[in-house]
Amino acid sequence: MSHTEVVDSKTAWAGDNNSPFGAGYGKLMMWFFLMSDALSFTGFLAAYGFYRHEYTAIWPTAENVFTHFPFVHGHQPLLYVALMTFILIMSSVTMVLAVEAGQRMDKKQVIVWMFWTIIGGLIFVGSQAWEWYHFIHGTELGAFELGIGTFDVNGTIEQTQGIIGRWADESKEVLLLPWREVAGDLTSPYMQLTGQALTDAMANGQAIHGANLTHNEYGHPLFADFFFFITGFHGTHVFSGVVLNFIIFVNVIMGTYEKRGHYEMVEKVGLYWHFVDLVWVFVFTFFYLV
Amino acid sequence: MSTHHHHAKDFLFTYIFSTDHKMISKQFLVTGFLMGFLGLIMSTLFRLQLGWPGESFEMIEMLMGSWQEGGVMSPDKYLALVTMHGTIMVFFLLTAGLSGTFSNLLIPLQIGARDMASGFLNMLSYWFFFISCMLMLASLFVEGGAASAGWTIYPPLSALPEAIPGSGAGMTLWLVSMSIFIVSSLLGSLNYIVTIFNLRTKGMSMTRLPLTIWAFLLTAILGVLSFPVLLAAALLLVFDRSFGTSFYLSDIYIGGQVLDHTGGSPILFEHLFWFLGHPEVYIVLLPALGITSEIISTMSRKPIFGYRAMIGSMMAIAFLSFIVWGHHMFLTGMNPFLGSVFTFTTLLIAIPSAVKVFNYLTTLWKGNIVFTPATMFSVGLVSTFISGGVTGLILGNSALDINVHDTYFVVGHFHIVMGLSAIFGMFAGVYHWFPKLFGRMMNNKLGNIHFWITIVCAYGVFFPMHFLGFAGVPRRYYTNSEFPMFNEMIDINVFISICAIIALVGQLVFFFNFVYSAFRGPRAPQNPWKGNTLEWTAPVEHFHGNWYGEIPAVYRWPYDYSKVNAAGEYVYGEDYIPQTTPLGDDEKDGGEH
Amino acid sequence: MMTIIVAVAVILVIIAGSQLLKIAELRAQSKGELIYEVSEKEAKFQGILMLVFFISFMAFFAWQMCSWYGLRLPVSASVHGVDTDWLTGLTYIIITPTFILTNGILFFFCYKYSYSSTRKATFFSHSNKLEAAWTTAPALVLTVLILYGLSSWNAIMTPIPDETDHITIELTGQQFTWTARYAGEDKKLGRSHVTLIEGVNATGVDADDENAKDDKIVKGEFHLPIGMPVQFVFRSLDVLHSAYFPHFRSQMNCVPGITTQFNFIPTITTEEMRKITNNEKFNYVLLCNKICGAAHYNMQMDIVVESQEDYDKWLAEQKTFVE
Repeated sequence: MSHTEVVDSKTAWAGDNNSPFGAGYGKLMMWFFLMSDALSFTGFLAAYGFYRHEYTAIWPTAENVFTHFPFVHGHQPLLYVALMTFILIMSSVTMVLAVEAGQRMDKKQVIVWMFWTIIGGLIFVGSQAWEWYHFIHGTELGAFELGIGTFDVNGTIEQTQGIIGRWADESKEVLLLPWREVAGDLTSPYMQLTGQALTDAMANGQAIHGANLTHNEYGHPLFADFFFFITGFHGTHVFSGVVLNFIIFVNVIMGTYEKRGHYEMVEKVGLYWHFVDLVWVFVFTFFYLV
Repeated sequence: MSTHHHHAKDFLFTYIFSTDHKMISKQFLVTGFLMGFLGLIMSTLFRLQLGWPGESFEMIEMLMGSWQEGGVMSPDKYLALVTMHGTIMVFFLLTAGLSGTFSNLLIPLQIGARDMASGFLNMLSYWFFFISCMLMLASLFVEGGAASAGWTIYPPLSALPEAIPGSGAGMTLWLVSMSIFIVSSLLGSLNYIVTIFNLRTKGMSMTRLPLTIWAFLLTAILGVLSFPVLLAAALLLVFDRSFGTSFYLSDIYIGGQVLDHTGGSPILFEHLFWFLGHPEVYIVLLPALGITSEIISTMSRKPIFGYRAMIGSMMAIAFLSFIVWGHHMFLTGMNPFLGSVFTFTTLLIAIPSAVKVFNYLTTLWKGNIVFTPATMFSVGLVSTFISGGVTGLILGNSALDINVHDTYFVVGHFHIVMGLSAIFGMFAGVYHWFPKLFGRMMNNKLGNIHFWITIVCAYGVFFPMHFLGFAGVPRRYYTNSEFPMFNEMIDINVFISICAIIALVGQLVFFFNFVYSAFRGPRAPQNPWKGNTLEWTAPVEHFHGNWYGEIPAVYRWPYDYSKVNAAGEYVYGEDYIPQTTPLGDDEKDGGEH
Repeated sequence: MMTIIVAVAVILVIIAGSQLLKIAELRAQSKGELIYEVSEKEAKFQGILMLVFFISFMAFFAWQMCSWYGLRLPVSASVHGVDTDWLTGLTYIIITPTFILTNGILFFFCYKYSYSSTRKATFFSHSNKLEAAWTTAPALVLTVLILYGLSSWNAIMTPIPDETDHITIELTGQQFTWTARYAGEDKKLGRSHVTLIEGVNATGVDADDENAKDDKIVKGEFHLPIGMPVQFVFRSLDVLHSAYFPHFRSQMNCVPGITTQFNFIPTITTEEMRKITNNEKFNYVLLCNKICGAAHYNMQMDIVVESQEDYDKWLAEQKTFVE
């Protein structure tokens, strides 16, 4: 017997084909794999939530950070991310249509819809790369990372090492600190450093532009750390999904599944693609919106 | 020529890159045991240090070279040994070795399938495991030595090479090795689950599955859900170590300077780690419990008592294992209310465990017990599960944990339940299914000697540790000689170390028996233990596909041992009725008389 | 040279062993038996060994108790420790008979029901009543243990309320030493942070903080007055440590980046404890109990519990932070 027999789930391996939901073993494996992958993401999101909760007073607000839209100047908070999300969700829709066409053995339609899914995926990955670029690059103004020292926040003395202050405007005369005058009140103005206090503080610290894993002009360094880590981990999944989709796409064109008699493989990568989309919804909600 | 080429390729695919579950199970077994033996040597070495602190041992110098200058172990090498011992035993021997061997061997054979759903992924699962073993072994030889922050590798100690040398390259290799290990484990688990669900033979409903299969199924599901979180924890640690992030690090002053990490918390790591860590110990234990159920039933010639209760309690244990992780963290400064919640859930998990023990006892009651080494190790598992389990009632109760946390009391507890119960399950499985693995029989006398030496010495090693714990002796201490209050403990330490050395020698008996029997042991009959389950209907010789012709269909549950009719005679004349025997006209299935 | 001799000896032993096993198998064959079949005699013998093992096991347990029970920690030197010791004792009264009985039943059954060709095993596969019984019984027992345990736990983990008279001590752990800082006259600890560590200020106390000026920093040993609640605040400068006070039944991790707390009330002075333990050299001790590096095994600080007057005298002799 050949050692590389392909076991087709519908042939004579099982003496009796009693499987949960009547699903073939390949699909079942994909479901369990997705469960395990979901738990990896859960681990990361739980870690994120842990810190988001702990540093809620000084956590940057996403809508003040992600404000760029390609080719348009100005301030469009979260608009581009919303567009990215929309595109990814639409690509899931086209994926569903591809799967449905596969169930009808309609090869031409499968090709069309898979094509649009792949395009959607590529646009998403490209957009994410663009977001990363702008995030890393930072704003014109930059920010100032305070050095060792203390600041009185309404009676509590806080350490200033590592705290990021943002300039109120181009004149760089007023440095806005992450604490609000009335804690927890999102309408209350940020506390400030001006004049001599500002000059003293600036003797001790450094100007920062952009964000990387150790310094973050937008606020707490963990914000940047998690941004890169979670969107990077997700982006890797999207990219691998695009690659998988492409391989299956080529197979569809070559007629592999017509010969096999079913398009179950399209369904399986479809499951993966929907998973990637669903994770993005969670990431988008917890990272950008909450 | 072509035949020669064909032979070489055949050898490669039959023995090295086999996709046959039986060969893969042997690969897991041998690799697991080799790693386990290494872990055992490591523990003997540090027991030498603990029994005779600071004394010079020529033998150690010979074995450990520059690690042991003058034959005396150094404190950081001691910690490296302790760390590697824990890592190797928990993951490489008791997870991959135990699950990998028996899930692979028994799932297709007991459910009536020709092989696992995907032989290719199965093969990958083993080779990833092998690579991870190589990486872990390599970490012993890098500069700074192997990881040394305990098998639990809490940061900041594990994140900062300046805190301990092993946290340099050794720790990096540890993390890479474990990431690959997790991939191996996931691939294996996916295969096991899907095979059990989809490839059962005709008539093999879920409630006719042997308890081993239920155990392997639940173990695989536990693995799928919990290992990814360790992966997450490990990846975040990799970033903290190598890319300057602060996921776990904050406000650290070491080596004369303040580090540039702010905002992180080591407690996050502990949460993520133990979210895997606790289910992990059940991943280790459940297969052993499943194996024991099977062996005790078969060898007592009686049905397992409470088949459905056994399934239910395994499911309860599996479910509860996800919500008890905080009992490893009572004293981290977390909110006391959380501590209360975890105390509650932890003590709950004692209930299904107790149910299982009582079911085992009742299975033995009025049985007709054939004592092979497999039977004896299964009995040993029940004994150690009781002995180790009851001390869990102290550790799980948060107020009582305050004084015994991180002392030898904990070391005694987890070694008795894992280092004894789980390994006994593994030994029992090897003795019992040796005929299916190698087509030959192991020697019973040597097996008995192995059992008695092991159980006596093992209790000798771990029981006294409870007394050390109650005297306040902390764990992971290189020596106790710095504290006058521990001076009197040296007798206990000597006693433990001597028992450990004898136990090591006892294992040599096993290895000899294993290797000899695999090559020259007496040939096995098809059904040496007169068992009911499907694996004994497959021919002794190994071939791809397991059964000649059709796969047998199944008509009854696997526990019809000593079933008698109204006249008190054995139905069908024997004290066992294989699953492949159709039900008689008046017969009911599944334990009804 | 030695290595070669040992290696040769090992190989010879292995070869001898293999040949012996082969001989045993052939001998059995010649008698018409199969070497791997377990005879009734053999099964009975192992069954007897099981019973013998159980008796020896219990004897071993008894011997350990006689030899080593006396090595356990002396009576609790803290108020809450009395409660937890009592609960530990109760738990032992529950688990020890369980351990003896269930092990006993296990090994006794092995002995009694070892294989006999003339007996049939009893086909008894399930009983809902039994399952219910041995699910409920442990559940009840555990409920009792949980309730007692949680009430102790809540009491122990509550910080001392401000109104209650107490002393406050900050314990800072670092590789591989402890530093104690008393709160001083104002009863408040001054701020501290790792970034302020410099020279003599080894734990980073904030010199600008008014509250810090009267704090007293102590190394090597620290003192506690008897009967006075002491509120500990724990810090770590580098890696995880754990402050373990076994005699006071207290323990709490020291985590870099945050502070943790624990409190207890000492009830026995060092002098009294010396009499109780019959050991003139006895001292209370603080140990590190979370792996923290090479010298983890030697990170300690002595603790002296004494009368209020003696304590006040000692404290007055300690220098304040300013000095």
